[in-house]
Amino acid sequence: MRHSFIFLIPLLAAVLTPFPSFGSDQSKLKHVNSSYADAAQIGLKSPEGVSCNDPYLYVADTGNSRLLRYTYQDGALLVDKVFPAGDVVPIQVQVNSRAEFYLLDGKARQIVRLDTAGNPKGTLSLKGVPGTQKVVPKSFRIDGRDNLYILDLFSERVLVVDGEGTFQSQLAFPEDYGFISDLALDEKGAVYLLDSVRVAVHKADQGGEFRALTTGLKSYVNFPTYLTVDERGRVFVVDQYGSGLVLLAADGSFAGRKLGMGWDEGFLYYPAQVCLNAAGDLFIADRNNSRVQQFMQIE
Amino acid sequence: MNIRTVSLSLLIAALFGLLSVATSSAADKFKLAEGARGKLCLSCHETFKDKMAKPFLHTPLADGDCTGCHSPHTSDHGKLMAADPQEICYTCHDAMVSESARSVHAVVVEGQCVLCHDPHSSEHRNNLLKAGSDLCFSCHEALGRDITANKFKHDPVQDDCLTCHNPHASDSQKKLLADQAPALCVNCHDTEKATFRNIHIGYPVGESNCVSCHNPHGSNTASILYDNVHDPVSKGMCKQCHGEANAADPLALKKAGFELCQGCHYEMMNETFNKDRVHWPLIDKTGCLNCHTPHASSENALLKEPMLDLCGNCHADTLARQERSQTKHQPIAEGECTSCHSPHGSDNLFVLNESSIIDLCATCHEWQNHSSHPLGVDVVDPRNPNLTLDCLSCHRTHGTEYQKFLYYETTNDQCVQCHAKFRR
Repeated sequence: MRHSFIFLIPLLAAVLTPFPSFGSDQSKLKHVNSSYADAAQIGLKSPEGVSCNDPYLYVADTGNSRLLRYTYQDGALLVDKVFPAGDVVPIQVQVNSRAEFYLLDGKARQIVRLDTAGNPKGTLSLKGVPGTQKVVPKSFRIDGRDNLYILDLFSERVLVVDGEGTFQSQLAFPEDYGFISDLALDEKGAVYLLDSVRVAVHKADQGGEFRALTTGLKSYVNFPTYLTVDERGRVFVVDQYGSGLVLLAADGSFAGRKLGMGWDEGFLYYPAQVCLNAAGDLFIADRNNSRVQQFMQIE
Repeated sequence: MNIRTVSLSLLIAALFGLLSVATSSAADKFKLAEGARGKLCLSCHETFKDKMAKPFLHTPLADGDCTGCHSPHTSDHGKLMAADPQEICYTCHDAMVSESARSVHAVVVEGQCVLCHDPHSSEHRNNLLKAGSDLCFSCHEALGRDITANKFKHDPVQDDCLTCHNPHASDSQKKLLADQAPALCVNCHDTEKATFRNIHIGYPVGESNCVSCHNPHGSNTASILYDNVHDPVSKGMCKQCHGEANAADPLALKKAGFELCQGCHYEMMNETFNKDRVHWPLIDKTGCLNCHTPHASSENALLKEPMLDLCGNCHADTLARQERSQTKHQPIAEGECTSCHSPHGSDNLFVLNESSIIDLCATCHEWQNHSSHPLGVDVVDPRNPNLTLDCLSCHRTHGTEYQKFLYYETTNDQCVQCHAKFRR
């Protein structure tokens, strides 16, 4: 009799343990911090870009034409350094392994380089790019080898160039799309594209072509504008017009909607970009609230 | 008698058998007396004698089979119809629309067959209520008015819309078209004629999309061009954008995207590119042609479609929000998105026309009505030290599910967002 109970216990435990359902995500976002100003109390103005590069967070403070470097140790989100960006309208910031900055200038639609001290190094001039057509960068990312992946809106492709702008490879947009507004990279070298109009995400595994990862997001997303991928392959989509985040599982299935529209801390008002640090914390450029917010993921 | 003859006889017998079963089914159903059928009905419904005299009779009526559509005793439907009036026609006419049809006439989807057909009899073929285009114009009134008023008319449109459109559905085309341009057009127009080539300055447009320049319903511009014609087209200066007429690829564009248009529209382009923010579609591969048509248009500024439809192609979520909103914002309802937004570029978020939301709203609204409430760049939003109070602090211009574009259901709920001490 006693023996049969011993066998029953693990069986019951297995039955009572809830199965993780595909397409659902139980994680929650807990608000940790919001930053409104630098150390001199100059307020942020419509910040659009965030880039997580431990131990720092970099913020493109678009409305003030400057770049902010934050530290986030000991639970405080503090501006550590301010880099003026001159005439540039910085709508995106990415940082390579040598702590050199690349800014996307929304006005000139060029990628601008800054050295580790924030001194201008001129625009990224592209060399050896095939085709005679113009290159219009809409967005870009930097991979682990310091290559830049540039979303070339005009020539409908993702251009891969090294840190000096020398052509490495290119990847054509999928044949049928609405408007591609952003790209992202994952740790396995796959490239993701976000189609704002069709509300779809396309993925190209390393060496492959773009294929639809998911196309049926219209019921969940208003107008997505930015995406990032975590180490588990989950896709975080910024629903700018819906003032929220949408989480997709690695297979592209809808896994949940996070946050909502509002002005109080923990809410978003037309967010622009999001990044994840090594600990899995999310940093969001809460554009129309003119602040940056930090959230912790709770599984 | 060989096997072939026997098989043929059996087949004919089977067909006759099926036919007799079909025609006698209604009679069997109601156990009608010999010769009763339609004649019995007409003994009371005397006015039907006039209908019977018309040249086109619906087959059941001609066969005296009133019970094909009506129940003689009782019914759940008006006029003792034997089934739902919106479905009964499909009992016999079940193959009007193929499952793969690309476009279907709305009245067919709704089962409103009687809007076009008389179910009993008519003076017109197919039991149509009216002949030719007059029938179509009974619903498509505005189009009918425009077509009648047009200075330059397209003759087939005057006669019969069915020259180009299918009345029920089109398997392969939008807008119920029987075929697409130019295949549809060359049924009547000979593209090999010298006059055709001359008027098109030698360009091989015989395989181009005719409706990119010509309004198939007629217009007030010669050659039924759409009423707003791009200057180079009206001056016959195709070379501004295309190659020479005798080039290997004469219709190829000289440049791609906005770079083609920049040659002439450099002032507008320079102004746009000096703004902090550009409307991104302007600088993708399609460029200006995302919104404008290069040859001619019925819309101002050579827009491809009415503005609301055009903007809604990408910003469907915004239009849906307005649709759901209790209060409608007039510029959106009237398709005037440019009342607030600069479609090419702007220095402001959302490519707005003004940097100050208050100034922008004040172009239509006398915001002084709100003068009892502090607003402006000196009034900090209590919820956020980096924001100042403006119209968008309380209203969402494309609509919310609440009245007056408020973010919250009641005015009280709205106010206590800032005036927290009054929260109940």
